[in-house]
Amino acid sequence: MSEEIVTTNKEPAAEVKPKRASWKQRFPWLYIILRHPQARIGVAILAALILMSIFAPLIAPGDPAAFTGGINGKPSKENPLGTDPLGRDELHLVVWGGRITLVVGLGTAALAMVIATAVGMIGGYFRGTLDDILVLITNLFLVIPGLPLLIILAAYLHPNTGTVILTLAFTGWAWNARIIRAMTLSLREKDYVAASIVAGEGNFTIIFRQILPNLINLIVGGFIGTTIYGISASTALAFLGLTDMEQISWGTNLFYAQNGNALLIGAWWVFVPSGLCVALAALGLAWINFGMDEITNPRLRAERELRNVLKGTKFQRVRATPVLRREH
Amino acid sequence: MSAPLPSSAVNTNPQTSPASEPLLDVRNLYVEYLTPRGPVQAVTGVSFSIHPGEVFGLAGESGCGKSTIAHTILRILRPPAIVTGGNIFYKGIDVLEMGEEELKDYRGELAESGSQASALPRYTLESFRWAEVAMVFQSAMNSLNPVTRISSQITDVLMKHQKLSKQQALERAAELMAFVNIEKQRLDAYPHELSGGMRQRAVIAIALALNPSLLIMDEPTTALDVVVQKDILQQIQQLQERLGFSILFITHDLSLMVETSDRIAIMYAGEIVEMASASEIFNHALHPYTQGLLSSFPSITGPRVQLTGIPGSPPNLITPPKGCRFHPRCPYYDGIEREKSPELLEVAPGHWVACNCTTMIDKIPQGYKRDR
Amino acid sequence: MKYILRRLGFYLIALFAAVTLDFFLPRLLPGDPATAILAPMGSRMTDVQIQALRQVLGLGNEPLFQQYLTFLKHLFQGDLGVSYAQFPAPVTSVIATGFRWTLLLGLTSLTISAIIGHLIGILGAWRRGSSFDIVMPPLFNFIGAFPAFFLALGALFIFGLKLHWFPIAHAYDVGTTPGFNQEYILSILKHMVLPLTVSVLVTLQIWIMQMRNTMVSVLAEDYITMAEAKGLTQNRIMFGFAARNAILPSVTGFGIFLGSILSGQMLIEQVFSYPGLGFLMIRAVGARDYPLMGGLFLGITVGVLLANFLVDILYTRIDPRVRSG
Repeated sequence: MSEEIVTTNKEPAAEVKPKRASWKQRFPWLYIILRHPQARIGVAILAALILMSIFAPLIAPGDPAAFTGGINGKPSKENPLGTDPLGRDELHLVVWGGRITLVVGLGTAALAMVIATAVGMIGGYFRGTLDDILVLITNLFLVIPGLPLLIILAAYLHPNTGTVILTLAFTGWAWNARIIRAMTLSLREKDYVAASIVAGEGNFTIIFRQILPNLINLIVGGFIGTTIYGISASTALAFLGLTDMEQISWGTNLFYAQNGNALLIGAWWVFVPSGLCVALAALGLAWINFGMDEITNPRLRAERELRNVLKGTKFQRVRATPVLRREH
Repeated sequence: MSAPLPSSAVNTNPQTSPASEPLLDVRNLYVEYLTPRGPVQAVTGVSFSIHPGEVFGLAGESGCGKSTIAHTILRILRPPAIVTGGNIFYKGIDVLEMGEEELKDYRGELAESGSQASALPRYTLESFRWAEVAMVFQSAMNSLNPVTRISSQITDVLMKHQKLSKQQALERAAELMAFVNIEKQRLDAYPHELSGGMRQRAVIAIALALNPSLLIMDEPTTALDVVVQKDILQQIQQLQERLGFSILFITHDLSLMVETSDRIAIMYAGEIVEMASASEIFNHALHPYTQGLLSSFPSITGPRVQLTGIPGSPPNLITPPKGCRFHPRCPYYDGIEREKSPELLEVAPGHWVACNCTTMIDKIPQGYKRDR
Repeated sequence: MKYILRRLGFYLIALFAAVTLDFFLPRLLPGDPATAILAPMGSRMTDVQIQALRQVLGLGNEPLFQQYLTFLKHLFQGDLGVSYAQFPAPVTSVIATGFRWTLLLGLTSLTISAIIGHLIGILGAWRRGSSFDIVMPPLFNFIGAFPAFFLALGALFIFGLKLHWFPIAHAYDVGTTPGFNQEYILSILKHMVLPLTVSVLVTLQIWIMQMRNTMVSVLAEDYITMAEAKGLTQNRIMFGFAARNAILPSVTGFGIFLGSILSGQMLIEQVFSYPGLGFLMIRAVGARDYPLMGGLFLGITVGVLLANFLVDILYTRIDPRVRSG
């Protein structure tokens, strides 16, 4: 007896074309940054500083290193922020100083993140002895004290922007490598990776197609964090006189402020603006990072939502279940 | 309906006398969770009572609200959860009205002023918790402080509530460990040093430390393997017979419940849909959901039956279905749209059901008042 | 126990790496390292002295590996060479004096900052959303965003130069005699106030953020719910259960925090001319005093590794799960 296989599909499933994900879904972090209040301020501050640096020739035209007369002069009409111990106009110094400082910060972050991502992903993906070695190296770089190492390296090497970026990246990559490795380890255990391995996909395909896209959040967050490090550390090095002192950066401004006895004379305008700029840059970046954290970390996001929801009610800090009776 | 378990396994203990004052009387409880998308109606108009010495089971799927109720009795549910209505009477006092902080010795004041007005003992949450009602949480490993010894986790309640000295507390702790068959040397251990079963028993010992009148057990054996499960349940039964406390037993495993409980309430989507004695539920379940639950577990003895399960999934509790919340999944739905959930009505002595579709007239016995 | 041995092994490797680095760095200078290093000394040294220095630094005509062994040998004998700028003070004695002051300032600052920072973090997390929590953590984030030396300069300027409340340099008044006398101790304290305050302010945010964030996740744990169900007091739950668990990552993360704390302190020492290891090292760099620089780097590294190791041992005391591992 022949058996007919009867299928009882009512009608063929409608052809569903996958919609191209909107930019909101493909770059959630970008969208989020623009929504989060703190992150917005951070973006604003950073944008202001970057624009100031780019348009320096327009805002403060002329050679910033030029001697304008008057040493440690008070703020006046010609020199709105006064002059520094070398007789240069302080406003020029601050506006132009952002260039080198920001470039060094971003350059350090780029280089350090490339190293960190490579080390973290390779160790986390391949595991085994290779990973053990990489972890050891990472931990070595983490434990050896940073600033002393930077100082000693800077003292021996010829200081210029390039070597500064190199030494900062050299001392700053380890932190993020650890984080990326941890994430890679957990991503590697996911089902879709196992499926790819079984399907015979090459290791590098898997790394770049499956794992890397999921690390974007961490990489961007790490990039921002390392930029903060780059800016602070390079400023510190400059303050100590360990970079190319011919350059104009916020750090070198502070060096000359300190060494020109500006303090003793009470010329606060010599060091306050540059220091303020460094602090603002660090703060702005930190707030951007904080906003990103709150959105990408589900627990933090749940907390923020909870805060929004409870705003207005008086239940924010209650430790026992609150009772608010209503009509039912 | 299949006949999965031999009826000897079903608890037919008539120990509880409905005539006596209920120990815990939950009336018309409403609990919701505030979320950005709107409030989630987790518990809607739930009423039940537990009598002294009774084992009361609360069964239902994950997310039906049973854990919420358990946590609300002790008021340890955190915001964004809020109670929006109802009462939880414990020995006549509404837990929902209790103050949080320790008041000065209220009973002392009463005695001094010679007031007769309220001879009932007054509680604050701090004095009520653990001493009157205690709870055994689902995962023992997660509910113990990982960095302190077991001994300190028993003695802290003893020293706080009963004002015992360290020495006295340690002695009592050893006693409690003996109750649950753990040698007292284990008091010095840290939680991670104990086996799963031992941890669960330790947690039970902690729960019994102050001789509570009601013990809430929230999925006490779900995380354990079957052999240990049986062991623990037996232990609990023995302790209950010996010490006489009531139990509110919460689980999604109905087969477990019919063995251990005196009375059972079945919850669905935040409401109680059926409530009766264990044997009634087992032999004469009336609500379609209960029937579905019962036919979803296989029997070791008896004929092979098709497992049916219940198609569909639990509803969204921000906008629950109108009328009976189960109707989208119910095989007996009569197609009539209704506004309100059916009331929980007593259709036979001690047997309550919330179901009012026209198709159920024959299936639900006489004396049943239908809601229009 | 195994845990401690593993950590010790790691620190020994790290020490070895630092020593090797210290050995190779002078050889990074272009040309003959010996001449380059000894050049600043120029005519001030006799040939014999120059030879002696070459010996100590391991600079000679022997093969590299041989130089390395000589270097190590001297290291084990506690001989790190002689400082140029403070010729003929041996490097080890310079390190010793610097170490004292850095330890004094550093430990005091760490203790105060850690205690206050953790308390603020605990209270902030416990009363999430309260005005305390909304104000404090961001406030200290803001303060911590300023470069440490910038705040130091500001403090020096306002309180030292303008208001004359506190001295502006050194660890103690030059006129007083060291010893356990009241005058000396008082002067030490006076000189410590400004650097200490700046150091604490800059490092507070590390502890606050760390503790607060950990507390927030700890407070969501089941054992906290159970502690509340037990009817224990708020204080007992906050400290005995929540904080007790939340402090663990502060301890494991200490090694990493130490790095930033140390760099902050070095810069503060520089601004206040406080004669700790940081100040000495920076001055050595300025004078191109290579033996001292290298020696100080090693000294600081040893200190850091030792601190890490001690903290690791401390950790086994407070987390029982690690002991059995």
